[in-house]
Amino acid sequence: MPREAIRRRRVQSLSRSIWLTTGAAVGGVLLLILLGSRPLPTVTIPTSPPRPYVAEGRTLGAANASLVLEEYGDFQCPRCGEFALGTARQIEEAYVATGQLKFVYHYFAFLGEESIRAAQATECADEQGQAWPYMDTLFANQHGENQGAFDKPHLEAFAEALGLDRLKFKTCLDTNRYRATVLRETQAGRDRGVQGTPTFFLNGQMIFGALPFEDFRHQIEIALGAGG
Amino acid sequence: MKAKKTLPNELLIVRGMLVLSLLGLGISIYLTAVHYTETPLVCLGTSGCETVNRSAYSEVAGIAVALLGAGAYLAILGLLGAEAYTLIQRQTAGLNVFGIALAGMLYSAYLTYVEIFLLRAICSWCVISALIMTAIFALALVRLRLIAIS
Repeated sequence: MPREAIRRRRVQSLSRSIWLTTGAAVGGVLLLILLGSRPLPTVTIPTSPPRPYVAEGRTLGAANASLVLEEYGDFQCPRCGEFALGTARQIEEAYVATGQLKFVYHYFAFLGEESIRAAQATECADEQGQAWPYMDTLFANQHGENQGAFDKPHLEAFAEALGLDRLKFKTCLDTNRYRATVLRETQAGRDRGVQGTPTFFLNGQMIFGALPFEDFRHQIEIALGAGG
Repeated sequence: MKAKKTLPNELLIVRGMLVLSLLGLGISIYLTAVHYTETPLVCLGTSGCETVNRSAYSEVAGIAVALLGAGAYLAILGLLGAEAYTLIQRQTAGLNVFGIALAGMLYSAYLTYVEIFLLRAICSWCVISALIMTAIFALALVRLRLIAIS
């Protein structure tokens, strides 16, 4: 039957088109998934202590504390990381929580571009009130110097892991709005005689290096004694 | 090949696809607008819309996934419109709508997987869009069947 034959050929051709279309659709979707699934950086989130004494920005502790301990740090400096996740916690617990000491973190971004970017990112996290958890996360995720540990995807992944508003953070970072702040603060450190990190100032007196807690305690007790 | 007249059942299917595409387009445009501005997202029932729509998975090569959705719905509307004005043949429109809806449905399925297992947040608007795309796909499939037997 010629009519039946024409119909069959038409259905065959349609069915071939359907398979082709299906193939194209599946291929297109696989391509989209591949494009979208850039490997997300793995992020270590350190446990941050509850900090009812966060004053503002990068300042911890009561405004009227008799002592001020300032740190000039670089997020890529391993000793700064050890200090932040170790000794600093002990100092916080012993002196900041009790209202005797105010702790201020200053940027001293001298180890390269990723140090500057990490400091800018901290300012962006600070916009959302998360400077301290962000700094802890930076220190917990150090990996070499300027090797990509603090590149843009990582900095954004840290923010995301901490539950920050991603778009707001991204906009802040992309616009470089805090670059000048970071560079100015680093220069201010140089002007005060800082040459390496971490450098501390206890009530204005310079202490160099991530000393053990005992040494800090000794110095703080002396200063408290002198003040009281 | 002479153009076949659209059957009554098929007309119903095409109208259904039109209505669904318009709904889908509306949702996608809303999600796209919210993604690119900083306005808060009004979520239906669940609370995960913001999380999902601003997550790392909400963009592919810098393009918002919601915008891709809007593009897909717009393409379906365009194809059905072109067919209505006899600019393209019924079979061409049927096949292309089928292809776009299939891709949309598969990609939506992947995105729903991402929501549930990777982001652990559900965006109700996105789920509604996934269901709309699935319904369009079902209609497109039925229509192809009708085209084949007519």
